[in-house]
Parts: sequence; C-alpha cells; structure tokens
Amino acid sequence: MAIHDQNYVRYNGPLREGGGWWAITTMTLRLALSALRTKIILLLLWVMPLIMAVGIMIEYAVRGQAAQIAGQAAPGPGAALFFLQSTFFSLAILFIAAGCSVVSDDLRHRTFQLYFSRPLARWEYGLGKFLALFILGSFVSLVPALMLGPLRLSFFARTEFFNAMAVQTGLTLLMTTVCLAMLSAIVLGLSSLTRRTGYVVLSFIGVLLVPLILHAIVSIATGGADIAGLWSLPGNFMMISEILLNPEVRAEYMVPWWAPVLILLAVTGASVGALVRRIARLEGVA
Amino acid sequence: MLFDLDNVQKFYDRFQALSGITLKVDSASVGLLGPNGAGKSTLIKTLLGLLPITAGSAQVLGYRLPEDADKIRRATGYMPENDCYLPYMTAVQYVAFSGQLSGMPRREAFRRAHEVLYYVGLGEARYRKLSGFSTGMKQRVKLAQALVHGPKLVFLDEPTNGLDPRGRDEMLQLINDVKARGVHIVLSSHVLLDVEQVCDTVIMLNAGQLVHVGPISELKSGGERVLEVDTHNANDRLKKLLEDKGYRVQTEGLRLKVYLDDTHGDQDVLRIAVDADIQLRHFMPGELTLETAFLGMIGQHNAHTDHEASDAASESARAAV
Repeated sequence: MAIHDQNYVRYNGPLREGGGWWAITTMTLRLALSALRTKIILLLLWVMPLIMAVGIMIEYAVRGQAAQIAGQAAPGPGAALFFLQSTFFSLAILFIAAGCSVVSDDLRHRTFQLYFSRPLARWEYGLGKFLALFILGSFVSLVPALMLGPLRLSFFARTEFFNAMAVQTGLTLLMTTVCLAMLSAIVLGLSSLTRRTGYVVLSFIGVLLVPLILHAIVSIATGGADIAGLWSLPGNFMMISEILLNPEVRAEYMVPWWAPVLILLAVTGASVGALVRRIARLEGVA
Repeated sequence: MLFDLDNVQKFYDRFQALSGITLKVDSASVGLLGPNGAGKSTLIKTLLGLLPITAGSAQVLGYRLPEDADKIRRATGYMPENDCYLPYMTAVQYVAFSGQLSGMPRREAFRRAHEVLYYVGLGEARYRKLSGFSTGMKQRVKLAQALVHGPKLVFLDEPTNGLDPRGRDEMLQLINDVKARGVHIVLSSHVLLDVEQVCDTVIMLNAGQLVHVGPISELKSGGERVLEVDTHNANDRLKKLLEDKGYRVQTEGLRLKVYLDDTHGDQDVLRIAVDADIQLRHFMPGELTLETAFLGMIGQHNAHTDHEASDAASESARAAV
C-alpha cells in the first residue's frame, strides 16, 4: 500500500518571473520575528522612543508656559542628535541579537543549494537579505523617527519655527535612513564572512567597540578635538549629523565635512564588497 | 528532448571536469552513474545553468544554455544529497518558500506546500520544525520542495541516502509515482539497484568522460553472457587458465564470474576445467546486474585510458630519442 497521497495532482499554475528577492526578504524577516529574543529586544528598544515622545510633550508644555513669561527661543538640534545617537545604539543592539545570522546561517546550513537551484539571481539574494535587515531595523529607527518627527513638528505648526523644524525633521529622517542602511550593510558583510553566527556577533561588537575605545583614547590625548570622532563609526556618523543639523558647528570643525562621509562610505562599501564576493563564489549545488 | 548536449566541456582552471560530452536523451527517467569525481555533480550544475559551459552547446527540455538558465531552473526541481534547510523552519514554511522562489504566488505556494507534503507522506508533520525530522522525513521534505512548483524535470541526488530498507522502498515507490505522473527524473546515485528500479536510461561518466548512454536493458545485455563458477580450492588457478585463453574473469566473493562472448562458450570453460583436473562445485549461468555491467564498463574505460596514456608516453619518449 502506498504511503503517499494517491489523489495528488501536479501544480500547473503560473510561475512569475523575478521577485525572488521579495520571497527572501519576507522569509528572513518572518523567521527573525518568530524568535522570542527578537520580540523581547524590539519591545525593550521601544522604551527609549516612548520616553522621547513623553519628552516632546513636556517640551511643548514648557514652551507654552515659557512663551507667556519671555518670548520663545528657537529649538536647537539637541533632541534630534540625541535621537540619532540612541537610534545608532538601538540598531546595534537589535542586529547583535537578531541580525547577525542573516547570511551565516545560510552558509552553515547550505541553504544556497536551495536558493540557487531556483531561478534566483545572486543580486536578488543580496538585495533580499539587505531589505530584511533594513525592515527589521526600521522597527527601532525609521518607525520611531516617523512617529516622533511629525509629533514634534505638529507642536511647532503654528509658530515661526515651523520651517526650521521641518528641515530638522527631514534631516533627522534622512540620517536615520543612512544609519539604518549603513549598519544593515555592515552586518550583512560581516555575516557573509563566516558560517558561525557567534563569530559574526563578536566581529560586529569589535567593529563598534574597538574603534570607540580608540576614539576615547584619541579624544583624551587631543583634549576633545573633533578629529577623535574619525576613529569610530558612531563618531563619524554623529559628526556628519552635527554638520547637517547644526551649521554653526561646521565652521568650528577642524575636520573637513567629507572625511567622515568618506570613512563611512569606505566601511559600507567594503561590507557590500565582502557580501558580493562571497555569494558570487557559491555554486549553489554541492 | 530532455537533454541535447553537443561536445560539452567544462574546465576548472586547467582541470577538465567534463570532456566533450555529446548525448541526446529523451527518456522519462535517467540514471546518472559514475564513481566519485566522475563529473556527475558538475554535469548537474551545468544542466541547471549554475556553471557556465567552457565549450560546446547544451539544451535542457528544449531550452538553450546559458541564455535560458532561468527558464530551465523554473521548469526543474532539485533534491540535493545533503541537508539544505534552516532547522528552525517548519516543513510547510520550507516547502512554500521553495515554491515562492520558483515564482509561485505566496498564497498558492502555501496551498501547494500542504498538498505536496501530504503527497510525500508528511501531512501530519507539516507544522513541525525540520530540526526534529528523522533522516527519512528529511529526504521526503527535500523531495517535496523539489516538486512543489510542478516541475517537468526533477534532479534527485542520492535520494535514498541514509534510509533503512523500508524507507528506501517507500522512497523509490514515491519516485516511481512521480515518474508515472509525467515528471522526468534524473537520478544520481551510487546504489545501482535504485537506478535499476527507477530508470529506463543511464548516463555513465568516468573521469569527466562519457562512458555509456543508453537503455539499461542494452547495458545489461551488453552482448555478453555471464557464467558463475566455483571450484574446490582452485579458483585462482582456473581464473589464470581462463584469462590465458582470453576470457574476462572477475572474482566476486567466493565465486568467479566468467564473461562469455560469441567465441567463448560455456562448454569451453567446462573443458578447460576438466583438462586441468579442477573439481567444479558450481557452474551456473549468472545474471549480469547493472552493478557488474557498470564495473565492467568502468574497468574497460580505465584500461583504455591507461593504454592511450602509455601509448602517448612511449610516443613522446620515441620522439625525444
């Protein structure tokens, strides 16, 4: 007696061309979100944006009171810079907990054999994985930015600072996206270097932490000169953010504006290069 | 036409993995045979369009390589030899994902994943994580992912690996059922009995060269008959005597396999034994199995290759002198 279903009929429906990258994105994201660890980390990382939302409301109330006593002062970039800094570290924590296995697990479990025996191009695989990390990271970066930015903007809607605040909100959104894309690419590149997720986690922590220590040492040695910021990823990122959000600072900087941009581009480019090189060498069938 | 290969060559740097494979196959099921390093995996990769051909031309299911590689992969399924899944995926997720990668709409992929898992006998286990699957279940789920999008051709790489006899029978029964539903099968296996049970045609490779392509029945008959002989402590002596007279003889276990052609009959073997005063204990016509045919062919091919190599060496030595 056959153990298989005798009434089975072969699939004869349509098979669309392209779009495999989206299947990679959705499956990677679904698997990441199905882990309890990811859910807990996401919940914890939402504490900071919620505190910021409360802060914005308090800022609005205090400004309302202060305006009756003595005229309103223009809002500075401090809140936006604080948001960007916290976003950077939220993303780092999220990716350490849930993003580092994005390619290494495929290498470890040889799932490339499945992927590349299908009509899936190498670039589709890379794009799919990148988008999965980007969307996962957006839960603690872009989504809070899209929530807090317009909230803050709405409080300034009827004031003379609306235009300045709109520019500040736009730049914050832009830098949040840049930060997200950069960290996603770095994690993707590191993850493609080894089949051990533990090593990816360690190397990502190393990429963040070791330069930060150097940053601190150089900062102490130079008496807090802005050049110290060039030594670390968050240092470079915050330098660009400050230059964009606070034009007055730009004139005081010793470091040219393009230096941190170049450093971040080089790191991101190297990560993308590592990924491309790795997946180009995989043949798909063992 | 299932495969139409014309002088297909593949080099890895200087190493020639496939040397001038030319064949036309239009069979429902094809066995891919060859020792380790024969070029079977390279041929599969080439036919799936994963490796560019160094020279020659190839068509699979009427699609040309390399320009139609995507169409070929859409029309084929591949069941790899080793595990290739994320262990924390459920069976239904895995199979549906495979369908989506082949271009099925998401909803349809999930619906079909359920159906195909029932088909391979994993209906009850479809929501279980793959990490908890036994070897037999893993083989079945790999077959399911190869079938989910309704391919016209399925490459099966060692589908009975690690299965117990019952599991192996069930897997072969399943593969034969897939074949009966109009799906072409390419079975790459070291277990020749499996190939014999499933395939009509075999492609035999050795050291990157095509040794044989054709129906199994033709290979097994091969124009030769086989005689199984056993003697009273004189197998080695009889073997030498027969080989001196031009017979091809193989020792298999405690018996000798004597290959007979038009010039050598079984009575001649009997006469040689009697003349040498060798006591026969077993003298029966034997069956030429695919295994013996395969070993014979590979042996002949290796001898031929060695002979050509030594000819070339002596030729070059002569030229040097």
